[in-house]
Amino acid sequence: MTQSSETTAEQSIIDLDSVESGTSLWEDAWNRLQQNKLAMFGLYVVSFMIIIALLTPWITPYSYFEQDLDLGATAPSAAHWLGTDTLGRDLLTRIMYGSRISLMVGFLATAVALSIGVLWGTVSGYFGGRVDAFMMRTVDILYALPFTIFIILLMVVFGRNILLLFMAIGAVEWLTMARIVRGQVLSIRQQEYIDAAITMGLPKRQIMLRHVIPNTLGTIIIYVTLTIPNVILLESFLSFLGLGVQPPQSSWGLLISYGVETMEEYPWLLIFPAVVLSVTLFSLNFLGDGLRDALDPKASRD
Amino acid sequence: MIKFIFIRLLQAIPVLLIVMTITFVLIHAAPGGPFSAERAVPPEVIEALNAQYNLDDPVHVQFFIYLNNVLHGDFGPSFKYTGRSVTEVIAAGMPITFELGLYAMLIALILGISAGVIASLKPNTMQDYVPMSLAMTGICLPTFVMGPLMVLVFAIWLDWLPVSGWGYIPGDKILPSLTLGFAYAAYIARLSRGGMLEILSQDFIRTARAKGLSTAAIVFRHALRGGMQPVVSFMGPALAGLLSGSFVVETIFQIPGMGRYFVQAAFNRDYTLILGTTIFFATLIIIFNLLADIVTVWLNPRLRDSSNSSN
Amino acid sequence: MALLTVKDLHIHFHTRNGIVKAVNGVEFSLEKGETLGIVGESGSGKTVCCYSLLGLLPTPPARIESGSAMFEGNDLLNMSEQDLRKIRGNRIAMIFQDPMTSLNPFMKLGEQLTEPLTTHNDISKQEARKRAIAAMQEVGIPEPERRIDCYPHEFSGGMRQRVMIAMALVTEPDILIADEPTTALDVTIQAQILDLIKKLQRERSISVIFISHDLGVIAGCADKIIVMHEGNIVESGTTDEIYYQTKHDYTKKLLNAIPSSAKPESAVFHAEEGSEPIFKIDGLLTHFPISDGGVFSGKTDECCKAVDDVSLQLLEGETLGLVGESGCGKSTMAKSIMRLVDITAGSITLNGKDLTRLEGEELKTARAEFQMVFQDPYASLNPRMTVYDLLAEAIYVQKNCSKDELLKQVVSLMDDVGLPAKAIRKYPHEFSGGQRQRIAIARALALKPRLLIADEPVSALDVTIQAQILDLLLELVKKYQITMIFISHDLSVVRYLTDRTAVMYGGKIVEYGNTEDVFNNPQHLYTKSLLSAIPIADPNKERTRQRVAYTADQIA
Repeated sequence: MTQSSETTAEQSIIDLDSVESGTSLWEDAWNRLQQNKLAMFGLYVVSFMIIIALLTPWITPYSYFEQDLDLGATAPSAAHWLGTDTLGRDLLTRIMYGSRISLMVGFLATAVALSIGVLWGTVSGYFGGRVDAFMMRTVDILYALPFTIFIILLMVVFGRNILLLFMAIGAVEWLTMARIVRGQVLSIRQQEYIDAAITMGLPKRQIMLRHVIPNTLGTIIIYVTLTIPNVILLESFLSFLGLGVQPPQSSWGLLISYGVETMEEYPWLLIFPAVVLSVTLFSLNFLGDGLRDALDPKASRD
Repeated sequence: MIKFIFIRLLQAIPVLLIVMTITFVLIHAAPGGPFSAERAVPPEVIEALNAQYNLDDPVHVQFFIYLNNVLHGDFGPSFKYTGRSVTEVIAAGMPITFELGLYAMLIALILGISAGVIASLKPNTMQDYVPMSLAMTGICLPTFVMGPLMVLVFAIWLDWLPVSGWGYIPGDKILPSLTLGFAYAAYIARLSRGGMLEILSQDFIRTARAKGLSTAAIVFRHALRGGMQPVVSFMGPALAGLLSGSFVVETIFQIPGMGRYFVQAAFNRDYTLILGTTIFFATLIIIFNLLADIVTVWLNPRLRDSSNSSN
Repeated sequence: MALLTVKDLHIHFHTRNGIVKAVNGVEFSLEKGETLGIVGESGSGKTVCCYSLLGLLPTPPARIESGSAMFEGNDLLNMSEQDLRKIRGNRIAMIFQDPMTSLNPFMKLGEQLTEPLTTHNDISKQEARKRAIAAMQEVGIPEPERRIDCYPHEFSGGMRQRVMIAMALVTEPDILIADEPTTALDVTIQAQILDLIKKLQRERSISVIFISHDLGVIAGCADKIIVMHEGNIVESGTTDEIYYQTKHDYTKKLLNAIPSSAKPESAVFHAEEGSEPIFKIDGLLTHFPISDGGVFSGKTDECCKAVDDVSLQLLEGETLGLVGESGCGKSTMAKSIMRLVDITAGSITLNGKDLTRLEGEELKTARAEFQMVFQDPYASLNPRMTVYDLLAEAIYVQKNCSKDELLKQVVSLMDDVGLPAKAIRKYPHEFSGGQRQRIAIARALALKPRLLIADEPVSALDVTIQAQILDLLLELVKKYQITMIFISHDLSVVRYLTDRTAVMYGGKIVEYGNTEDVFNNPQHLYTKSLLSAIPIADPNKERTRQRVAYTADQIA
């Protein structure tokens, strides 16, 4: 309601030129992040991966499913930069299509986790008391369930369905998100500036929107960045066990599991997908760590 | 303390029931039965088999029959491994998985804690960066990448160690244990570093230094007890994670442990074996979480006697 | 020859944002049995300087650029870590500011107390334990044989500081460095600890370096004093010279910053004949159920009587000082009035309205009339909002007005509290503590309240800043005819600022009257004890004064 309202009005009351611009905590954090080379490297790699994944269907000369059995597995060459698999399919193309699946599952499942987790955590932390106790006991009980096993069962029972996959992964990851958000909301609610807002007569909804949520965002961003690699990992794990995406679709986990089968003869079929997966995970983790250093107020003190 | 353990044990009962129910419902909601895959079997035989295993009863009746059996320690016969009961299959696979898990955990704890503590003593120097980069590698090279790569390098290219197996050839236990342990060593290293840094920045560490204690005395006597708390609370989830890690490792290295049985049971729709192993795993996870909580409380004197102190 | 001679000490901090010169050419010497006081505000380098002697500074970022500290013919600053370790905790011991965090919560006291002995001497465990028990006895810890097997959390703050002292003295060191040893404690406890340090020093004739920001605390115990400001020594001399023949302006400023006198005559409140009180509290009770907060927590029927049957009245424009030590219920009382916590019984009437019965829209509108300034300006301002947003929000909540009008009001508020209008778009973290508290005051005044509650508004600030903020409050309250409740643990501040004083103990008001009467002629034992415990920045008075002790039984 009052954001950046000092346009024409300001001139009439104070001299606009003399107003010193402040640096918000976000700008501070961005400046700190830019100084962290590893984190910036992570940011660039991840952005690059996303752009490539989006453009894949338009920039690859090969298709990911058409086989060329006469060609078979070949080592990297000018025509096939990363070689071909045993069915003569271009490996680079398959990795690129795989990245579409892996990244999509990563982002969508994290989005699912984020939505449920933030909603659950905020409501729990906001209402407190019995509501909080009930909601958090539920999370505790769910936490004790062997989820990996359930996901495996789900995949076995309902077939390998990508939609189901990220719903299931999202349903697991939201638990931690809910706990973290709740913890943040609770600790921010105890801050004096919340008391100050109450004593001004600010309605509860406004207090949440203007004071509580903006201050939880930092933690949520950090956690989201660190959840995405976990989800990508989980998807690859399932695909590796043969429970993820359905061939001829490809995903990094699936490519790695094919690579394992033939690693004695054609090691590049294992090594290239493994490198791509690991570099992505590295980048996301570096970015997450960098964001934590940049956004964590403790780190800003020194 | 006893009250605390008792309450936590009571809470485990509904959790186990939920686990059982969800698994049971999931499996029975699946299209096709365990015997539908075997094409050559005539329909009468399938009916007879279904009747033998109570599969023709309504689902809720089956559930209570099963529940009753489980409470009597009987997980039923395996559908796939004819002639063997689920309990027998679990009993055969469990020691192997336990042994694998134990080695992996030892590797993880020893490597992880030492790396984390060493890194925490000189933050933002090479002494910190080197072990922590290794830890990051461990996190970003998941078991199913690490395992095959290690096989490729150490077993195939260098031919130092066997490609697969467990207890058949000397040395065949090394690669699986390392593969499984390394990922958790990485997590433990990061947690130990974080926990130690937190504790080392406390005022009481300054007091200890002002007393003229050596670095070793400060680390071992003053800091470790508090600094290891994040690691201890991670042990519950870590052991749960080790189980799912064992699925991968046992598959890669063809080890006849519980994890491999579970994955195969899932593919084969071996109802009783899936149910049995799931309940078994769930119980293990609950017990480990409980143990981790108990150790956490035991490590912290303030939590330990908050039951008999009052403000 | 002096026991310790520090010469030309320069310490710089090499940070990402450049070099901070923390200590610039500090020099002092310390004789056997002498007490040296080092006085300065936060950032003056007093603590850095003493930490460097024992090698306790984090290096990097800290670097000792030059200087020497000769102790028995050896330079402490040029010693190997191993040699220095033999001196630390053995020949030179140290006690710290916060006893709550300075003891290891994971270890029994016995382990921690015997550690200096077993580290530095070849001594058996039993012998060490015996000496630890003797040391506990000496610092006045009852039942040391039993208490030695307790954990720190079983002790109160004052007792923990006694443990710290016992731990420092158990090896019979030559020098004791005390870094603000009483700052985190209540006044009456502070008095006990100061008396204890003085007694031990007399009996053992050890040398003491006493670091403090409080000239009152230093006055009674130091033989000589150095005053530090921004890394430099601005003045040094014997205690009497510093207090009675003050030379440097900064020292004068420090001494004048301590309000030692009564309220200035111009600000004294004069009631008009027959005026009715604007604010009344009647039989206020605020009770909290007790839960132990641990993992075993369960509901109990017990409750904590945080505010226990409090009644008082204030006239319009009158200022009330609410005094008491931590845990006495003064903050809970403020929160009860502000409707931040639910009260158990009683009524609170402001301008004819019973605040405890207001709900919803009525409460929201009424909130404009009673506002609060919080203790910690670092926590009471949302770090993600600009000054403009913070102040405009307060105005906008109550009254929908145009952007022009809003801006005009924000600028005039900033002017009121002495903030430049050009800082309107800055964020809280870009201001100093004092400036932040000005923003908080502006926010509280934005709604033009009739009643202002200030909860320890200056206790997080340096003394010289404190004085400015107090004067600002006094001026604004007078200007807008605001009735104020000023909560503080600092009696001299209350005396300077208020017309009436209420002394709180255990949730009850034990003494209530005109401020000058309460200070000049206290009736209640607790008030007497409290008054006798305030350190006075006057060495002659401080050396000879008698404390009035009390026990909880006598008051209950």
